[in-house]
Amino acid sequence: MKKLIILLLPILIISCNSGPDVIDDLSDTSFELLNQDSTAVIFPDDFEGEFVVMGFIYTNCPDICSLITQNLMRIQQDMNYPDDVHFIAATFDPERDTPSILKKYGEAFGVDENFTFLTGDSTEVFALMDSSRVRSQVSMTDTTADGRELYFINHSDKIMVLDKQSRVVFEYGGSQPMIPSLVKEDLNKIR
Amino acid sequence: MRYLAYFLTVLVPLVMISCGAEKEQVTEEEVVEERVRPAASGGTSAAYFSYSNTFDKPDTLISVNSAVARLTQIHESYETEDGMTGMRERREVIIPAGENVVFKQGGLHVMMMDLRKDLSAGDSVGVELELKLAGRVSRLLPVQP
Repeated sequence: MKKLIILLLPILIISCNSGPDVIDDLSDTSFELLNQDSTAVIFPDDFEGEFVVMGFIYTNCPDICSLITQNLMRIQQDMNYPDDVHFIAATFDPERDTPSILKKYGEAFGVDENFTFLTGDSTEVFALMDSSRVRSQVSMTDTTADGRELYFINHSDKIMVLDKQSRVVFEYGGSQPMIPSLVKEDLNKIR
Repeated sequence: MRYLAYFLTVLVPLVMISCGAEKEQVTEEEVVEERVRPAASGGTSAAYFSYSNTFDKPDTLISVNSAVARLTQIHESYETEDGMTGMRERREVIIPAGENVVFKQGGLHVMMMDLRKDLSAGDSVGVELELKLAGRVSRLLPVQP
C-alpha cells in the first residue's frame, strides 16, 4: 500500500498543479492592426505580460455580437477593472468596421479605457482570424431603398483568454450568459 | 487486487474532485428588457420587446417598421449546421391564440438597418408592428445599451 501511495502521489500532485492546456500559442505570431483611435497596434506583442480576454464581433450585428461585447464588459466589471487583464474586441468585418465606426460602437456601449477594439487591413485581420480559429462567411445580402448594399456574416461565437505569454488557454461560446462567471473563475485560477 | 480496487473506488474519484473535473454549471435568470440598442447614424440597431396575442385565434406578425431606419426586418439568430452563428430574416411570425411572442437577444429580434440618426441612451424610438388580425400596433421603446 505504501508503495502504491508513493507511486501515485506524484501523479496526483502533477495532475492537480499543472496549468491549463495551451490551446494555441500566438506568441510567435504578429499582426499589424489599428485600434479605435487609429493607433497602430501589434497583436499580440503589445499585450505580452498581460492577460487578454478577447472576443470577435462585427458592428452590423446588433444581436449576438452585442452579447459578446456585453459579456466582455461584464467580465471586466465583475473583476473590478483589473490592471493586469486587457479586454479586446476584434472585428472580422474590417471593410465596414473602420476605427471611427468601432469608436462610436464602443461609445454606445460605454466601454472602459482598458478595452481595445481592433481592425485593420483585411489581409492582417483575416490572418489573425485564421490563427485564432475564428470563421466568418458572408451569408445574406440586402439592399436599402437608396441602393446601398447590406450584408450579414455567419461567424464563430467566441471569447478566448490568453495568458501572459500570449498563449490561448481558455475558449468559450462568447455570447452565452454564463460566460462572465466562467471566465472570471478560470482567470482567477491562473493569475 | 485489493489495492487496485481501493485505487479505483477511492483515489480516482478523489483525483477527479480535487482537480475540478466536474465543473458546476452556472445559470442566470433570463431578463427580457424592452428596448432599442444605441447605435450611430448609418449603423445597425435591434429592437427587443414582447407582444401578446389577445385574440382567440392565431395572429401573424408580417412586418415591423420604424421611421428611424431605412430598412427594418424581423430576424432571428441561429446556429448554422457547421457550428457558426448567423442571422436570417423571418418573413412572418405566427403567434398562437392567447400567447406571447418575445423578441430577445440571441433569438427573434427586429433589425433596424441604415439608421437615419444616432440612437442614444435616453432617447425613445417608435416601432409599428403590422399584424394580420390586430392590424397596426404602435410601440414606443426606450433606447438602452
